Amino acid sequence: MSLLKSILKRLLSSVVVLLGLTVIIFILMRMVPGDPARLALGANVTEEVLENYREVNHLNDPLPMQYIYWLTDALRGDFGMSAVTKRAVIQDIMDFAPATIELVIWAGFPPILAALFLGVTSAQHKNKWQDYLSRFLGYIFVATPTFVFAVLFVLIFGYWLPVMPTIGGRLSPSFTIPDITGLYMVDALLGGQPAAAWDAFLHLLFPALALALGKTMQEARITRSSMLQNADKDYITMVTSQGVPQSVVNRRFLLKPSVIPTVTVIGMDIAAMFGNAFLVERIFNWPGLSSYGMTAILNKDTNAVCAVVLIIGLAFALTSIAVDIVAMILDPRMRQKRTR
Amino acid sequence: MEERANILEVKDLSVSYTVANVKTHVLEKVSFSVEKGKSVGIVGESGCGKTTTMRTILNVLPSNGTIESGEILYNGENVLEMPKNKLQEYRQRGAGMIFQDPSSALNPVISIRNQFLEALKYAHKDKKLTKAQLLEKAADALTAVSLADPDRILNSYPFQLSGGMRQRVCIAMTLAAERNILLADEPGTALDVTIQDQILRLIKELVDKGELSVIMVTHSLGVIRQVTTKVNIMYAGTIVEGGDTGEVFENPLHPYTQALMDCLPKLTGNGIAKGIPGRIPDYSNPPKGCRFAPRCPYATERCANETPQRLEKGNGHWVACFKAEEGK
Repeated sequence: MSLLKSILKRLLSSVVVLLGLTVIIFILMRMVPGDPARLALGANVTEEVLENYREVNHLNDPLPMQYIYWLTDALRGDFGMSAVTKRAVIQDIMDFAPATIELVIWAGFPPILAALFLGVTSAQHKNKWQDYLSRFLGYIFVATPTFVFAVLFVLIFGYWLPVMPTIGGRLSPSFTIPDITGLYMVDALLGGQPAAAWDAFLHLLFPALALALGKTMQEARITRSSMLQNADKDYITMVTSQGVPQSVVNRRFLLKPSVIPTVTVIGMDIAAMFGNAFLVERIFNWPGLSSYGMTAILNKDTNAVCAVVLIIGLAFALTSIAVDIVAMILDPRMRQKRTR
Repeated sequence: MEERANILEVKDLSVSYTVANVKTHVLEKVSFSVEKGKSVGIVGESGCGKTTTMRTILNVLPSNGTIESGEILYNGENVLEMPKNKLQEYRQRGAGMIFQDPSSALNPVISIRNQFLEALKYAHKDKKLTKAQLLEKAADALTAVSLADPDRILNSYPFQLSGGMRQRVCIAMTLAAERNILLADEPGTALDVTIQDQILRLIKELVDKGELSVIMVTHSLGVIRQVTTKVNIMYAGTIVEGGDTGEVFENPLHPYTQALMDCLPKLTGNGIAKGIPGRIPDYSNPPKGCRFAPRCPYATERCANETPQRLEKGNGHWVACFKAEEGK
């Protein structure tokens, strides 16, 4: 009950945050120099057509009014037309968002296990070879930008050891799969096509890996340091001194308080992937939202930019709520604080 | 097997810590023993190494602590050289400790119930008790330390309890394990006097029944007098005097012990009791001779350069001080 209440509270406060976000992004986009009408219609139209476009799209109204028109439309799912694709922005988002969601799910969740495993192993073998190896790789991976991994993967697994589909994209053209969830692997499995699912997995594996590597090692390092920090706490000494076997101490008494800081970082990492995926998406020709948003910014496609920023903001808000929930489940102190 | 009078013997124990690459020699040749079914006190001011001694007895020093030399014999076996499973067994059945700081000794994210269950499961491993029986033991122990509503306590998390309650939970957890030796590290710091008194009575009762041997660590001479039969006076990581509690209190021989006695506020006197000028020495560079010499009103040149050895004064009362050599 208290958990439900605090989730509702967090949802309400994120609505406020998102509204604030729309105001800022709207003002920014309207303040950038350039005529939206001209950008939308191109150079070869008459002043009359332009004026007509401005009138229809409320571009002659005062800014606050423009915002309100934009917001009411947006709430109905109407973000206007994209100046680049000449389609409804919402249509574009429906097409591109599942690709990014699929990518982020794979880059975000399975590596958590790897991060925890590495962090725990490293902490338990402090200053032994396991620890040195994982820290050494950690430094390298954390310091390497995602696009470097992406290019290296294309080179290694696409060219030298051709296991990866080099054309990129999400699926080889020879497959046709039903459109159910928009997540190709899931759809292929639901459609009973294991071969297509495997193909989708191969397409997905390397972009997801490129996106995840740095973050995963960062998470492993945080887990390691928080395990080591807690290992000298009195409450660990206490259970050790009670004759509880070391493995039980680690699993039941040390891991739980130690993963709480990692959970917060994981949440932020996953949220950030929605926005930061564009380099990886570009290199692997992944038709995702992040890449779409980047194209929109470069072309000053106002409607599309506002929509993408809003969606990414929403992703941030939802992940941070999810993180709070997980943290509250793990840490009884948080539960108490929220209900008060 | 021969019958041993001493259930635990600490012999020539030296322990150091490494803090920021500086080695601090905290314990210096600490020796004392615990008779089976008796209680022994260790008294000294804060920072003199009492807690370090307790932790070493269970072999749970923090990771920057090193045991330089010495042995700890539990029924004749050296705890510091026990194989892993033997050591675990010793911790489960042999000796258990009441930690000094109640705010940090309980796991913040695990319920009291589960902390009890886990600890008691291993302590009572041989008896194959059911979960309900273990919880019953927990509830009994909580009641014994005057926590009125054990069910509520068991359902709580540490942060929902007051400092005094947490300390009593720690005490109950250690007592419910029913080990042979109890290491009580300042068991009354967060408790008010009446409850502290009750707990000391409880411990004394267990000792009197012959079920428990106790090492009582405290800076309170009153507690020592009330509970222990033997006492060791500790100063800056060395034990300077030891013997029967009554004898040491009647006839303190070491200048430090005498100064400690003088520090006791007397109900009949007026004003504040005498203190001891100076402070505990820097462990990274301890005095070469007697560690108390820099603060000792009787110190001579010899005290600064030579370490005094134990000097028997009869009836098991001994002191490590050159001054005691005179006036025999």
